Amino acid sequence: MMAIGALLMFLGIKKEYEPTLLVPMGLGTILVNFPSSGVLTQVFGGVEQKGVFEILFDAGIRTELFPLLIFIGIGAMIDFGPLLQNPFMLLFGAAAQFGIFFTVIVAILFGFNIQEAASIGIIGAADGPTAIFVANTLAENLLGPITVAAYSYMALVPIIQPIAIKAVTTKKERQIRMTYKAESVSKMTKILFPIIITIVAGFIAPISLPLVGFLMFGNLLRECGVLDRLSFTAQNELVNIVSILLGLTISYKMQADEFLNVQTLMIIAFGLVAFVMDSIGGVLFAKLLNLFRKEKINPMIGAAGISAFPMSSRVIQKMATEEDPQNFLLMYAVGANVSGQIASVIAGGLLLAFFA
Amino acid sequence: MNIEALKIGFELMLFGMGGVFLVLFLLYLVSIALLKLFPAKQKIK
Repeated sequence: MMAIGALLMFLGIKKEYEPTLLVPMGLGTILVNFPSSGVLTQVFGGVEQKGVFEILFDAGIRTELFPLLIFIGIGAMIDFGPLLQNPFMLLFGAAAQFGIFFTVIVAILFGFNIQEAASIGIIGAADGPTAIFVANTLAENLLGPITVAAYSYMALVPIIQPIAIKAVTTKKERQIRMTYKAESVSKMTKILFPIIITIVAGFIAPISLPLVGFLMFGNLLRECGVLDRLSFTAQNELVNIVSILLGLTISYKMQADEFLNVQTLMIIAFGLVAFVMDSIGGVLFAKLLNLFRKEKINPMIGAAGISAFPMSSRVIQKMATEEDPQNFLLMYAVGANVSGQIASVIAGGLLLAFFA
Repeated sequence: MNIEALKIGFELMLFGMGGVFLVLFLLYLVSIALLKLFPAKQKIK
């Protein structure tokens, strides 16, 4: 486990794969795996002394406080502008959640129970806090490997997506050009949008409201125009402080007896399946729409509907430029990518609603 | 293989994908309505 901790830190520091989580998690993994480690509960002279990691875990993860606080910061960072300029992109966010549900089926086929399978599937949300939130509710025992898989694959989007996209598209399809047409967006629209998302989510899946509500609260801080100081704090100090605590605290679930098993290897493999099938689901949806549309959509836009922002939209633009140096898809891809940020949270909420 | 769990898994897929598409489609309609009701002063060209 100490080698795994070192590997997580190496990936974070040297490869810059999600360092905000992997570096604290890597050191935390080393800390929790010392025999009689003081960060875990120990008995001294017949008296039980609760370890600091357990205190943090009970306070921040078991209560789901840390992922929700991070959501406020993420919400404050999201600009819905590119999405509202092309609202049609919303549908690609929905399509690219396919990997979640496909992976649930795969996990069941390999013997996981339905709650565990749903927790593994949520890796495909490509959204760390949502994965932690759902896994903690449905299968706390799998929280460690699910978190490692979710954050690792998010960092690997630039490698995974081009392979998945090329597997289901032709060169000609990847060269499709899209004329950029955009609506300008008023301030009132930007203010009302997060409020309405909260209300819609509340009516359809009220159990998703902690996820959606905190995310949209953060966005409202950003857009309302009178709380810039709070928005700045949410985007910076809040996210930074909670990320430090979250990374360390998650490593409580990185103890050898819980992590070193065949299930972990399977979860890591299924996480890859989830990311690949997200991309394929989005691309195939775009291709389906193209059967009925006069103005064709570049199917790569569909793959941008995952939540990994802004990596995915950058990948799509890079691929488009490789196929045709004059092809400019970035704004469409950004719209789909932002939609993925909404859709992943909704998907997480629906998973919880299914078991409620 | 647990056939019952697999059946629930497919139900979850239907519920999940159907739910996500429903919510996002509603948000699409809401976005169109908001853009019409509260237009910005200048159009982007």
